Amino acid sequence: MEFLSPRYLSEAFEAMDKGGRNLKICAGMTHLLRFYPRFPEELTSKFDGLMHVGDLAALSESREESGKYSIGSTARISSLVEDDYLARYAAAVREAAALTSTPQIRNRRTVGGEVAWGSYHSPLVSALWAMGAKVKVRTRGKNGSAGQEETLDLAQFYRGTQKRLAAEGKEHETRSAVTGGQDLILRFVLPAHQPGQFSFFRGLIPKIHTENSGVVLSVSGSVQNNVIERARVVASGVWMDTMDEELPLQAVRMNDTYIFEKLYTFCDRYNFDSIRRGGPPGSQLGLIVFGLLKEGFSTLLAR
Amino acid sequence: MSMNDTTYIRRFFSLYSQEEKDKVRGLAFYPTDYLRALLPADVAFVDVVRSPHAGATFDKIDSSEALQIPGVLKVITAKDIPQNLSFAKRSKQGQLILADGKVRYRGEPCALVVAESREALSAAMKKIQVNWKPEAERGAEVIAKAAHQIGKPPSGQLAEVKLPFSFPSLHTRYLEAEGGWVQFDNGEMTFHAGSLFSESQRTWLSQILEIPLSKIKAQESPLGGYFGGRQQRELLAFLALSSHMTKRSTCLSFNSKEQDVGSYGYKGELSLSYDPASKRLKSLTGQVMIDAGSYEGNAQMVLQRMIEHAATIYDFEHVNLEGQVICTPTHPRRAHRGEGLSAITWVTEQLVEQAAKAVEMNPLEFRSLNCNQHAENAFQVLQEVEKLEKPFRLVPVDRNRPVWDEKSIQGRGIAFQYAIPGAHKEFDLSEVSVELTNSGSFKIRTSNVTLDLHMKQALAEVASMVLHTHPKAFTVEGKMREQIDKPARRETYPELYYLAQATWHASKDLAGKLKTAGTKIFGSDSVRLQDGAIVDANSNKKMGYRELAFTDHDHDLQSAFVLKDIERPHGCSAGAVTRVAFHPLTGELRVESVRVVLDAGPVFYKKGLEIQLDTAISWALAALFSSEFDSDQPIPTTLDGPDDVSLATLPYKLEGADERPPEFFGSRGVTDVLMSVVLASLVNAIYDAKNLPVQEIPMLLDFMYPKKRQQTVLNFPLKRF
Amino acid sequence: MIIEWSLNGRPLRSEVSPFRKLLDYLRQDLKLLGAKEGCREGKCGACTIWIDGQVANSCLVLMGQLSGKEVTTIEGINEKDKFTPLQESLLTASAIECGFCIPGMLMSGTVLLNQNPDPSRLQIRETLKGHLCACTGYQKIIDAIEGVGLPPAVDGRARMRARR
Repeated sequence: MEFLSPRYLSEAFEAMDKGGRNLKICAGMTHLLRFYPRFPEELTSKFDGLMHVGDLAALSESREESGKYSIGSTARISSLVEDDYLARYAAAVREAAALTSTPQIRNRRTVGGEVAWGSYHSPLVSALWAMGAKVKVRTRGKNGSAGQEETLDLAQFYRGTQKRLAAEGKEHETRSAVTGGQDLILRFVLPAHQPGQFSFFRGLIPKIHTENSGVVLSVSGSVQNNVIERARVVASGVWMDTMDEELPLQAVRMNDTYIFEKLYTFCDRYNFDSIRRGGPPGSQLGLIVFGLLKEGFSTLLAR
Repeated sequence: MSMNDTTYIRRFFSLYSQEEKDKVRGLAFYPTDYLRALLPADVAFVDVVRSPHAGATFDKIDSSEALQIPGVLKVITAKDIPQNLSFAKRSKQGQLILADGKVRYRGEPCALVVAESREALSAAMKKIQVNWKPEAERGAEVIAKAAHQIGKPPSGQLAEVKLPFSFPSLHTRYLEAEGGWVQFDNGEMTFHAGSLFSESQRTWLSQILEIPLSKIKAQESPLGGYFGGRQQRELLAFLALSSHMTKRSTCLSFNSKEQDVGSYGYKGELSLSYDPASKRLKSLTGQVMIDAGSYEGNAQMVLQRMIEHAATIYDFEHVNLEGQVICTPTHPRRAHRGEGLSAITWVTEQLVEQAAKAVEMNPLEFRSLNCNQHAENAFQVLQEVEKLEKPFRLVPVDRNRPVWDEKSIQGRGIAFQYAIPGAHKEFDLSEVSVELTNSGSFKIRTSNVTLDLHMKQALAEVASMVLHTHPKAFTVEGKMREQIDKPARRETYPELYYLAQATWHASKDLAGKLKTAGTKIFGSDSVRLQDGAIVDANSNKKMGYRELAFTDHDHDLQSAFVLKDIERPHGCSAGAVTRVAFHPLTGELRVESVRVVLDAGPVFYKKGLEIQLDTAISWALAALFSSEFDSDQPIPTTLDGPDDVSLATLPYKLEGADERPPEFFGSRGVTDVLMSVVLASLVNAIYDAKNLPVQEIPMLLDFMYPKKRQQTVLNFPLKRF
Repeated sequence: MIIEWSLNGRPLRSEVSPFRKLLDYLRQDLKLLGAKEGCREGKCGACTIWIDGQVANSCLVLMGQLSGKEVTTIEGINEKDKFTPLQESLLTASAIECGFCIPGMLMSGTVLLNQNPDPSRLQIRETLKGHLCACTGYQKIIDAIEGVGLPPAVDGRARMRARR
């Protein structure tokens, strides 16, 4: 098996077009090496080559582009924690990045890798999703032709669930991405920041510090003159599939306990049983989601 | 002019032992370091053929094909072992080193393959043929029973509280998988397999191989997560067998899957009756069952101990506890530290808490009123606990507030534990020698080769007290003996307190010798020891130990002491207060503080106790929070727990101990008591917060998130606009 | 494949399979045994090293990923004839028992202290999230890291804040 380490993006594209189906793309490799201790022999699908894009400068940079903020796919998760733009305008993404795995892993894992793996408990996926981030992907070349660039919503990027077979017959259920290990995620683009925009991330604290959260949740929305214009919640976790909903908070005053009543009614009526994957019963999941929403909005109100 | 500690150390010694210095620089070698990188070239590799069935018989292990593979040295089966003894007892009962015609659990070892290279070994492993005849799965079998009865059932108007409970096997995984190698040299074997290689394991190996004890030696090496037990015995036995039979150095390492170190599982129901008028506890009754896995191990002893212990903490008129040990076709379980005691007292303490709530009495006062009258210093401990945190809230949480108004649900729990003093118990001798070396430092040699760094420091502190010098002047090492008088000596967990006592005596004797030497040098009768030197009180002349060692060649500056059949008269009591908070909506539990008061007798090394407390907390968190029972479960640690941890010990004075030998050091059952008290106080805090008794450990989702919701949106008034 | 990288300040050209794990290369080929092998799946942190000054699990890094990188192991931060402040503090706080987790803890602790000489206990706990210790528990290790920021030892006393 070949190990490719392209220095420039163009080299990577060329290799992709040539390699086609038989080239697997990787960057931080923290997922692959953890779940497949005897990598690469253990992988269920066979590849001729592995292309490591983790050090491509063109993909690791995050910058503002015509008002929108573009996060490079190989930016390390730890770099998002230190990002000033995210701290100011996309608090949910920054908070989610800070709560991802351990410091060692955050220093190695890339944003693209985290999204491509698609864990339900991934804080970063829920945050990017709630923020309305778009994924720019370059697909592999087919039948000798060059690959295409596509831009997808995260809701379009994932399609159902897949079972990943790992060492010792263990199975991991993750989201299934429409792209494969042969397609290259280029960057994530956050919509342009609007005045009055807010966002937050909350996750259920795991019982053990190396465990994954049962529920993670991100909210983004906007407020004008202290009245909420819109608010969107994306929640998922070890215990539930993705929930992507508009919260019924339009025209609700930001300093109102009425928010909590609205949120409670929303969670109480939402059919959590239909997205439950495990853990507590659906009604209890509703209470958990409400608790996390309440915590987040309380912090916003306190500001 | 007298030297203070610092000048003394600066002048003569490094502040830290070589062992510590190596470890902090990453220069200490562990068994895995040898296995992965430093193995000698001529070492042979060993692997274990394990049963794929839980319950099967076999009559033939066909190794002919495997032996034809070049590089395969030997295939060892039960028939090749000189004495195929059991792991737990020195008899043919229970699990034998290699299964002889019958296996009970999946993974039971039945043959060993030894080969020159890893490649030959893995090829040979595939060629071993065993004609398995799987048995129909057997249910649980009762293999032992125990009972503890005191008094007669009390009469009169009594109230009763009851609690069914279960505490399934708790699995943990250590950092390093068990592994090691043995060096074979002219019939002599030197083990490199972690420092928990005790004398009892040595005698056991010599019995298995029928070779003299002197042929088995061990290299002391740092522990890397080695905690003894059956896995370690397996490793030692397999290494010894393979090396002895091939006359080669061999190595072996287990993978973490085989390293199943599950504890026993418990189930039962206890009930407690009390007199609501006098607020006195009256009786404790119930049944307990231990699931020991495939083989009994020491489950019967644990069972007896746990039911006796449960009945000693409080003054019961009547006790009737019955228990049984069952055997199931699963991995053999083992006793962890504090096993048994901690598995039952979280239930009894919860029942006591329930009773206290029912009679509306402060739980501390209720415990003071009812605790064992003979419990040494129990009242003092309970008084100290009261000082830690008060007042205790007895008012239950207000559950009528609207959901979004709920504040976090707090709970406080206290618990009390008491271990009875040791009865006169025949114990094998503990031998300690103390020697003044030419460099002016002291060397302590003990008969126990399983001491960890902190235990060594503890002994150094005792000796330094008697010899009037600094603890850093002592190096402690374990020494293997040529002969063992009582082969059944229990040494897996070191009997530190006995060694401390022997160290005291040996140091006292050496101090006498130093004085005699001083008398001769100064020509005076009034010589005493002071600040690392002999001092003549008349002339005020002094000579440092270093100089003394250098100049005095007439005296033998070495003393040894052998401690035999001693009594350990002091019991141990502990009280704990724990605070927890539940998130009212998400159900998240946060342990906020654990505070413990401990009466551990005259303690000479408090750091050791602090570490024991940390261990107790992480163990309690593991017990409460493990969500799945597979070996992949990460180890919960104190990092998952509170930062607010405190330990207060009852003061004991050891001053003047250089003149008068203390009757004892430390107390009996410190570990057991700490582990049970922390878990029980945590459980009580959760019970207090949730107002729901904890019946099952680890806490299940059903407990954290009850199916029935406490409130629905329609049950409380909504503020409409 | 030839990898050009630098280890503990020395530039190296290593001919090695790009699929070989850094941990194995360090321990088996270079015999640098300071990074310990625990779980091999990035949970225990015993194998923690620095890549370009940032902590990483060497069991989750392939040699092929290291072109042009600067790797530092505990051997690289050991100083001749003296201890680093954190090493000294670990010793005085009696934070070492079996010592298996210590090299990893030391790598993480040193990075934290380089960034923030006076970290809070919460920050220290967050930093140690990727480490497991099976013997002493974490309190003493946290005490030791916290102790580095405290005034230096006087008269042989440990630099330690009293336990709360």
